[in-house]
Amino acid sequence: MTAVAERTETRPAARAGAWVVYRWELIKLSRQVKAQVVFGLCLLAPFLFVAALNVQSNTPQDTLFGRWVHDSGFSVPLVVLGFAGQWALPAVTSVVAGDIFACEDRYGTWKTILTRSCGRSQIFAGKTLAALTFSVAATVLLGLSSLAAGVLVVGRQPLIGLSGTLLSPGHSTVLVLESWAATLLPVLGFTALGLLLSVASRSSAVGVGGPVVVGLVMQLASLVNAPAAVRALLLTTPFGAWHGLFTATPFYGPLVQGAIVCAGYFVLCVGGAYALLRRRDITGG
Amino acid sequence: MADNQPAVEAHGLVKRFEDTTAVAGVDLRVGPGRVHGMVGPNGAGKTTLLTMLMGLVRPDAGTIRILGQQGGSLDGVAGFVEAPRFYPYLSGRRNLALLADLDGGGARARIDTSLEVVGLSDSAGARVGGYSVGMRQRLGIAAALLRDPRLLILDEPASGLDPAGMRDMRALIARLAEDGVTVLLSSHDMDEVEDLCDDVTIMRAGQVVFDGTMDELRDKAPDPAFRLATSDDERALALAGPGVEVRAEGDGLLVHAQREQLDAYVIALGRDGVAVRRLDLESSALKALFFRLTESDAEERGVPTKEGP
Repeated sequence: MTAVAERTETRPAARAGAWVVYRWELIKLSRQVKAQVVFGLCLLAPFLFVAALNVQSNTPQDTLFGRWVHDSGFSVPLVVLGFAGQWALPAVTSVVAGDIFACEDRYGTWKTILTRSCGRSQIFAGKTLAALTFSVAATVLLGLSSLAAGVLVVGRQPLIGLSGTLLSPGHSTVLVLESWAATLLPVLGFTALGLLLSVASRSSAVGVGGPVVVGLVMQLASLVNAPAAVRALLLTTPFGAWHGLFTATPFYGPLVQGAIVCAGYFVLCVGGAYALLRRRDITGG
Repeated sequence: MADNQPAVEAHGLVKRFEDTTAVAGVDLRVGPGRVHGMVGPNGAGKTTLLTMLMGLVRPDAGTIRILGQQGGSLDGVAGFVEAPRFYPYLSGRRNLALLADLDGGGARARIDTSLEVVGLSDSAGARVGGYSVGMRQRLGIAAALLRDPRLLILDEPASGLDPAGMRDMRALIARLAEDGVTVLLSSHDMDEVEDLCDDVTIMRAGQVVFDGTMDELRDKAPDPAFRLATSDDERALALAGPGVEVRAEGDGLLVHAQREQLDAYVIALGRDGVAVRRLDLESSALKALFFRLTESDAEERGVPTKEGP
């Protein structure tokens, strides 16, 4: 250790905004293998899926649009969406959301960042925004990659809609993008659930695994014919809300209902996480 | 902040964790520009007190005023509680850049200087995951210096450092104090506190058992203790004169005496044909007082307490 740093005139430090935290969370994510792996999988998995379908004559007929995977490339992103909504998207989103607060406990860095000129609210906002950004980016990447894989490998043939009408390639593209956009609502809901578990449990395992387990339990509740009111309140139900877009006369009721349910989950989970973090005594990490 | 305003002023601080009262009605005053030590055994409440001062833990009762401000503002305050921790997958420099951005102001411009001060310039590009404990400790100091603090709060700053690192850390703290930075440091090491501090607070079981200047503490300290081995312990016991308390303990003798009386006692032993085979300092006067204050009921033993709950 050498000379002491020359002191400058001291004045109250300006409070760093949430955007500073947000920017650093994105930088930190870019350095983490898990984020790189998730983005790599979102990019490559659809191509591997299509390649696997191409070497076999069978089609995933029990999945919506599954019977058309050899006939129209636009069916591929919809089949992927059907699979992803069951467990992959909750898993993808929770990889970051479920860990973004708990990792500070794991590394013991809460005391490091909470003793700077940056309040808990700013840190919460920055981290939450970063997790949401990651979830949206991963979902968009998976959707675009699926669309690209279908169109490039299978082709731009017209898609047969759920009412049996033929949808032009242009119309199909718009509907596919709308379907994936609609999926962002439950994705954000699961992200919020991951954030809550991350803050509440202080455990990355619970934060990351919890939303996946919750998603599977909700899927199970749907499969065993839970009452309609219960199914409507499940966070997994909005994953299928896009089906109404592919009928001759589109219906948007499930989308609206799904948006309300997802908003409810989002507000409750994010609000709960914020309240917990605000009140928490930082004793360990 | 006015020049004579305390850097830290806390009154009646209480913190309970379920059934345990970690801090029980503590008052603390740290004068501006002073180096204030906080000592006590494990579980005394030192770290909990520091975490409350740094706004990491909310007190159940009491008030805290830091650099004249109430309400958890950390402007002008820096330091770390327990071991400083960083993101292991980022380099030391990257960690400091992150913290500097969280601080805002001119903190980024101080990164290079801070690294140089703690001697980490050469390894700043390496990931913190590969740092030794001592390097992380020094990075913690660098992170604190980024804030150009007026009050530095350090919890066991020499912990994990090798002897040379400890020496450098103490020198750094002394230089910061000379620059007018108020330092509040906790330590297990009474020698470290004696070397560095102007004032000291001794805690035990969540309470303050001594609070005052080092000189006041020295005045109240008992005679230091020495372990003595001789060729004839029985004769040595009999030769103990005024101001020298000798008793048999273990396979030797334990002597309580001031240096002058001890010198006279050793000379007397030699004159009487008793060879001194070993004479070691068992505990310094301050250590002896520290043990007395923290290992027993201070009031029962009549140990003076300048300030306490």
